[in-house]
Amino acid sequence: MHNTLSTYALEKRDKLFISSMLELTNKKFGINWALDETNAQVTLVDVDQPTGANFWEAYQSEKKLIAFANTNHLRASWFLEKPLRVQPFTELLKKLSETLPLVATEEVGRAEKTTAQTRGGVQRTLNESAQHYDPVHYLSGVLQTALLAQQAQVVSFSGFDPLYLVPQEKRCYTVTMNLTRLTPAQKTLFSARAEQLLQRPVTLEQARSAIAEQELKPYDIYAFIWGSALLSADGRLLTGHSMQSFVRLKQWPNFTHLPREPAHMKLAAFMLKNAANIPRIASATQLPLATVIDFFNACALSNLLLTQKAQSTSPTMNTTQLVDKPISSEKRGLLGNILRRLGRT
Amino acid sequence: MKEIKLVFTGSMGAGKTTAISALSEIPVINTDVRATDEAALRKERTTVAMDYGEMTLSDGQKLRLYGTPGQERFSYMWKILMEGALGLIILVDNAGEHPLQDLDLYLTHFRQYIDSTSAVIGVTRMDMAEQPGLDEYYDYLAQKELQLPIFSVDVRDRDNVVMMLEALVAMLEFAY
Repeated sequence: MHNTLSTYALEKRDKLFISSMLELTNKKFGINWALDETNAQVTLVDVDQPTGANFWEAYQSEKKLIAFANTNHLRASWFLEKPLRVQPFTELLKKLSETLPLVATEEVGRAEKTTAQTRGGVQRTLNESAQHYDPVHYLSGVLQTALLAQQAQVVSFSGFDPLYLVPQEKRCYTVTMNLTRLTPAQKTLFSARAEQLLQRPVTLEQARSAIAEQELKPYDIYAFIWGSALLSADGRLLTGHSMQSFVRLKQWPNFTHLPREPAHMKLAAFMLKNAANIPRIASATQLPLATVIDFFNACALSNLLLTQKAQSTSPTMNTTQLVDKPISSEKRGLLGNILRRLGRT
Repeated sequence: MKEIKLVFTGSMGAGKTTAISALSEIPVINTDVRATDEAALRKERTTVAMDYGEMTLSDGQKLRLYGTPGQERFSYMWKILMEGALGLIILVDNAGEHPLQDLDLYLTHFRQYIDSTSAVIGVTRMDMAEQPGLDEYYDYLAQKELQLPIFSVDVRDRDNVVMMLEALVAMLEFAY
């Protein structure tokens, strides 16, 4: 019987240390931990690395994670200070063992076999049939339904000003908000479930009159669909789509008016030029799978994707030119410097 | 130390000087003169040689920001400014007479450079002229077999300029 540990965004040297230290601590201190990169109980994340920080942000609420960093700047409950040292590492594993059930050895073996079969070091495995995102249960679905029905309506959500949907204009109206920088409170509206929203049909004239009276601002209804998809899917793939479909972007999302994160720029750039499936996109951009899936969903609902089920043979779907990043480390460093200067990392 | 530079190009009045001002730590150095030809109908002053601004990166290196003169008759400057540039941002004034033709001029002129690195297109003043829309720009790029990001932007808003630069960096790193 074991406990299982995986790592994320660790430098090669640290990964080697972890592997050898596990052997040492298991023998010397009587604990029983195994490395399992696909289905571990706990993941050690180098949160000093940008990819590790993204991973932490995406998974901290649903996975047991250990922050590995120079200082505990994230105030993590489970923290391991750099550099790796045997004693703190052992003590941490001992404490963790007390909070976790043991895993049968054969299960670890099976997981290790799966590791060999997965591509690109993507760590999250999804049960696609059980974890699909159906927009009909969220604000995105309410907006889509309004567009289909061409019925103006006012949508109320606890603590928020009313949202007027005017599908005839492909717009919704509400108080001033900066869609590119949503406040935490505004994010709750975008992630709201349909049953939390009170919908009331109104005539076009009533909607226009209320909009004028309250001096509400117009927004592209697709920007709201985008935002809702992005913030409510929580890493679940849009229903009707497959992780293995090859997709490419038809065009960039017009980020001028959309909720966005730095990761979305990387995804848009990669997906504009390359058709690939979701695991491959996550691997190439070094982003958490959940981030890729949320972006995929938002693009799909905004009709920005070219999709096909199997690897492309179409000349318009460039699947064969996928190569490792050709830019030098010097240039990558420079680009990272520019982003840091812009405050966009 | 090797010069690191970004170049802003595009049609006259599209906002190259304003975009550079939004990013530059120093007051933009430019060579504006009073417009005397047809340009005077659209803009009181226009750039005849270049704009120059700069940003200091975390390691002390300077990122130099150059703006090309908008008018085609100064195109001899374009090639000079592009030598060794890290990337290109093309601004098109959607309220101009022929914005797609304007874009074509810059895409044609800089095509070799764009093919070897990347570029981002910002369409300005869409609030004053909604057509052509972004879809038409994408159709136009598709005809040219180009895949580039296009945004509607207001270059007076620093966030919009930062977004274009961020997109350019992403294209340079991930769009291969």
